[in-house]
Amino acid sequence: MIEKRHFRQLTPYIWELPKTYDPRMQVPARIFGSAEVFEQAFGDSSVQQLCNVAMLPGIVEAAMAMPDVHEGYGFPIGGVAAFPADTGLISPGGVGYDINCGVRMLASTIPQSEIMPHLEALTRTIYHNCPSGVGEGGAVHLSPKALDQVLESGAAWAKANGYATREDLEATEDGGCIPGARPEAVPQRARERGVPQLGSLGAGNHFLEIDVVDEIFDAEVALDLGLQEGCVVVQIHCGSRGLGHEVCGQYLRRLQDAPQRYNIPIADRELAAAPLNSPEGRDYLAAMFAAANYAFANRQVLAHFVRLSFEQVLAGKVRDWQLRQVYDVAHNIAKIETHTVGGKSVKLVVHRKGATRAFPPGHPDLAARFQKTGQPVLVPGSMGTTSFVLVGTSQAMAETFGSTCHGAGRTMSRKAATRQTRGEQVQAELQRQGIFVQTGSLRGLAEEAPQAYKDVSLVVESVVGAGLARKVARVRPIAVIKG
Amino acid sequence: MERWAIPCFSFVGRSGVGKTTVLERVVAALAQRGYRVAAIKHTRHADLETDLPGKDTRRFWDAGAVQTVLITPERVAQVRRVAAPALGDVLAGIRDVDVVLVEGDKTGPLPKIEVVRAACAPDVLPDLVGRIACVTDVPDLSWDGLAFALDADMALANFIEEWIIAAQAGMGGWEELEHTADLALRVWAPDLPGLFVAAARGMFSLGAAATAPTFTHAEQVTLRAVDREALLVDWLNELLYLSEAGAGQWAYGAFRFETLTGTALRALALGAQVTARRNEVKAATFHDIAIRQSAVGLETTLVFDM
Repeated sequence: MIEKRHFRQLTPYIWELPKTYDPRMQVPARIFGSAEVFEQAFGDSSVQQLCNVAMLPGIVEAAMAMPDVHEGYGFPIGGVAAFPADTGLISPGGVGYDINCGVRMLASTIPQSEIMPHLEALTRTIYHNCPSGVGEGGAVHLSPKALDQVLESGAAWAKANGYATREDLEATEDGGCIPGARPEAVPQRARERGVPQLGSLGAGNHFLEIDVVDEIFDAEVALDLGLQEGCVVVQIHCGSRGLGHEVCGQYLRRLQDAPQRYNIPIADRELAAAPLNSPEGRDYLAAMFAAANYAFANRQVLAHFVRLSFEQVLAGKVRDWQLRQVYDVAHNIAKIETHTVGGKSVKLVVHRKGATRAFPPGHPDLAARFQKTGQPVLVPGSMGTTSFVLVGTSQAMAETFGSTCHGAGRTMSRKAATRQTRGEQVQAELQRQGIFVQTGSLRGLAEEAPQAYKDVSLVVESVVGAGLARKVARVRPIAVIKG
Repeated sequence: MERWAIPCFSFVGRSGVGKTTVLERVVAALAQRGYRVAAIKHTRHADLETDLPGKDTRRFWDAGAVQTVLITPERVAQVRRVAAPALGDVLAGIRDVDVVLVEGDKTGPLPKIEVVRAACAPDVLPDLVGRIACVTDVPDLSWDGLAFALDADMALANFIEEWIIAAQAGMGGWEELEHTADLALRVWAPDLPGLFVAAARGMFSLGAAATAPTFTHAEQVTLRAVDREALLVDWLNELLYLSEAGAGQWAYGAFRFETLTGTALRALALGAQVTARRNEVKAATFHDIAIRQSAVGLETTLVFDM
């Protein structure tokens, strides 16, 4: 059993379990966060899971946990791990089932006071236009051929079909299209599930939220990102739906004997991995990229229907109902990126499982308009609590392969949450705080109750303290839509 | 929970093939074993009358009553006028029986047992969906699934009885474990088939808050895997996929394993429609899985991605 005493504190915000703790560890395991965050990590099996990741052969530098770390399956949520792209591993469990689960933010110039009389109508219209719930069909029904185009070109497909603007794509990680996706690597069953679900939110922790910019921390960057204090923004949190789950499941299945064949010792079967340069490794990467593209297109289609809803409800009632995309981030993904390790520039496969890319100003992968600001990072709080807009830093680039936190992070199991509170109570409490709630499942609401999560401010203070991101703005919710 | 849902089968075949006779004999055999059987006749004749002319209830009906009920010391006979009668609505209201056997309804969703008699037509119905078995006197029938001889009443009754037992609570069980982000179960049973049943039921109890009282859907599952843990994960993910694949959302709760070794599985699963959802179970994961020997037989932990 790993204990706090086995760690050593490297800086006020970095805690390291040396690789001497267990002979199977290839590198140290590092937790980023304040003393309080470090303390909380021992509340579940996160630390053991992080240690298991540190045992994966070829892992570079360290197995890392962001301040929102909590227990997952295989990798901990909030985990970051990198492997050399030429000789290293890829692990579907290091990405997870909801491939490219992520967050998109759209900003308006509508002051809160102007939207309040229409908030309920707007929320209901969005709920109607953006399907949510378990296994629910999407707003767009694709032909199998169109699905291929979505898998190959992601948000660019959305642009070609009138769901996106050029500015949207610029404000999306990788432009909303990861090159190297191969639709034919996507299993047939995943495709079947993908055909009817594009433009749908799903259930669980996914949500669509209308917020108001509550506080600006960096006026210059906020201005560049189109964020104005007191004005309305929209957040969309969802991923690749059934298609992504199926890609992960099918490849985990295909990789079950890979550790034996390639002689890769693993501490947990969910960490099944294969060399990136193997037939199954290459196929998984190409299928995972295709699922990631599907998720980019999914959030883009949802953004389109949110915009349509704003127009339907607010046209003629407010001065300007346009929504401009702030950014779109992926927080369950693995990517090929160039990083500096030991003074040398190397290509790595960076796995981010519940962690967000946070590239600094000047990074060549960012669009021109983010060269000065750095990459926007969207950190949603738990339902009904505040969320943050951050930007990436060069310190994150140096210490965490350009990664930061992805959200608040749970502290309470779903079971415990439903024992402590009922959906009706959560709804009433949110409404008391002036937050309008539209949901298909009251039990789902209870499981996502705000008290089941860490305080997102604590997580954000930790990443800021650790230098892994800078604060730009905080937003607070006024309406929540859940499946 | 005494039972997951009531198994429900429809007996289909060409007109005049002898469905009623087969069904009658199965009902008799099951009733003799003490089971409570509901038997439903499905007909296309709109003008069919059950009340004899001149009887009081018939006179009420002819006078324009929308519902007539005859109550005797031992039975209740009810006749209702319904705009668009649906078998599903009738099944949703069925209680207090062990099995429902339906005659007819070829195009419906129910698992089907087809009666094929050489004297009538020596072949199965083309394009029949949901066939799980045949009852026939044709020796080389073009059907490679389960087949019973036309006169083997006991074998057919045994088959139905197996399903009645399969729908009951069983010897295995599950409990929810604390897990911060997702959901986890501890599952146990005396043997491997029991463990596979308990795991499936546990998983569907995480996803569904309520299900219809009858199983109205069947699926065949065939799998191969490297070992029994991988097979269990595949089994659960396959059922999850099937539960979403159709038009409705199904919770599978009764199973019949034709094959279940450590690396291969062939089973038939009965599903009941989910009427209230609880959660979206995205997948069963390999995390922490290890089928161990325990005091009750076998047990394992299962972690689900939510």
